[in-house]
Amino acid sequence: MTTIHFQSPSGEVTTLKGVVGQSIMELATSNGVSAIEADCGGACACATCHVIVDQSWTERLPAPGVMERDMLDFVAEPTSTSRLSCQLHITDDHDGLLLHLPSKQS
Amino acid sequence: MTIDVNEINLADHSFWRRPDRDEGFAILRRKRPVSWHEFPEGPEQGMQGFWSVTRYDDIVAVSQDAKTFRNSPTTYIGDQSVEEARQEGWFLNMDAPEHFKLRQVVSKIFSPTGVQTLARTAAQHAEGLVLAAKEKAACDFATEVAQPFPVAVICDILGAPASDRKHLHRLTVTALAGDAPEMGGADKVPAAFAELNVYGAELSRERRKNPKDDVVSLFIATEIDGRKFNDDEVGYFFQLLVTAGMETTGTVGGHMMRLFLENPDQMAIWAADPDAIAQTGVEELVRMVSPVQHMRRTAAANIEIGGQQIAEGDKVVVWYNSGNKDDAKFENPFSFDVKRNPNPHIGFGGGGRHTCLGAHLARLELPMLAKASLQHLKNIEPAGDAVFVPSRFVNGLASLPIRYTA
Repeated sequence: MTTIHFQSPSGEVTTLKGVVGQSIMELATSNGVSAIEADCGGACACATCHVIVDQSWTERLPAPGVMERDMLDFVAEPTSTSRLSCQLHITDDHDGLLLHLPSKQS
Repeated sequence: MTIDVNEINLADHSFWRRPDRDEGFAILRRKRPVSWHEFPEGPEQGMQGFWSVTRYDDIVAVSQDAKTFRNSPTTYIGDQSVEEARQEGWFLNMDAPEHFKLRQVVSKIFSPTGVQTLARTAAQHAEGLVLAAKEKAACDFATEVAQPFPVAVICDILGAPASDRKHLHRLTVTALAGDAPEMGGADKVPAAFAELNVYGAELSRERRKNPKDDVVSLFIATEIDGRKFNDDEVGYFFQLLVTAGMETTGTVGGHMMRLFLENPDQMAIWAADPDAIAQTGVEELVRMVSPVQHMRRTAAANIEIGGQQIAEGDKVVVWYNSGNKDDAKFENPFSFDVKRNPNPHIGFGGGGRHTCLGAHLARLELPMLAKASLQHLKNIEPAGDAVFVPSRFVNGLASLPIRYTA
């Protein structure tokens, strides 16, 4: 199991254990992290599973692909470390990953 | 029969009447994975030809690169003005940012949680249609059960009265399968889309006077960039959801029964525990059937796909039916395996912003239809030949006579 931390804009942290291969979006939505809406269910078609990767982790994640970069144009409040959590799949290297939740998804 | 790769023309109606067209696509994948086709006959003769992309990986690459492979001016395989494309495909035929804004209007309704609000009435429709068929000991499963089911569900969502369901379905079949001469012909297609648009615009006028808790009323109330939709635009929304929501799921539902009859072992697995098999079963149905067989994109730059140079402005058609049978991606691709997992099929599109909006509604509906059918109809067997729709766009099933015991 891999530990992933989700921090809300007010600072509250939700810590979840995910399995390798699972998307961060699936981990969040199946555990009641309501800030991850994921309207399209993981097809990279809606930009409502936005997360902001903590600066300490940006170097350790693979760069977004063409489809994710395309949809990142539409997140409500983009930042330089914004990602779509449906495109981030958990690996063993992600243990302790800290993700910040945006204040709104759309 | 062996097909010569030089004889395959995907723009030719005669190809779509061939029983061995899966083999034709296999030959294209193997020998000419990106190939050029021109319209040889009919009202589309003289229109610009198109590249056909048939391998899974290439289809996904095209689908996910929405900046290079555009949906505008149209996703129609022939030639069409931007205005015609807007009237026939609405935001399907648009790119960012307009596409995103318009799709967002309905994205919550069709989200995984949004469609759950439809579960109870959808299950009632499935149960009702199957029980009505059960009384007769024989039926045309395609026309009496599988097709009317999603028609009823989408009409409920949109607020179209039950008395108009058959009319709307008939127009939808002509709009989407009309490229087949047997289903009306390509020259009948624009009028069918136009009639659906007019119906939607009239419903919009009615809802402005008497708002209800339905999606047409939501369209009327929605404002984008400080502007509300006019009745014609509400009509385009209506038409897109009607055409997309009726034909595709109805087609998969009909083929589902055909696949059950051809694969009794798989039918038995599904019948033994319908709820447990629903998740993998529905994905396998959509992979096997590929209800929408292609979409067109237009290259926004000179680019290479699978070793083939494509010029800016060229039409690029991705064939989902082919990618879903690509043995480089799927083991035993022609086997119907309701437990197939993983199943990264492209029956809902190849990923990205134009992925099927109604995918989660289909995932809700089809297991309901399977469960009700297998629960109430026993000893199901064919009672005549299945009639296929020779359309290049939809993998339609016009008729599937069956008989059964209660």
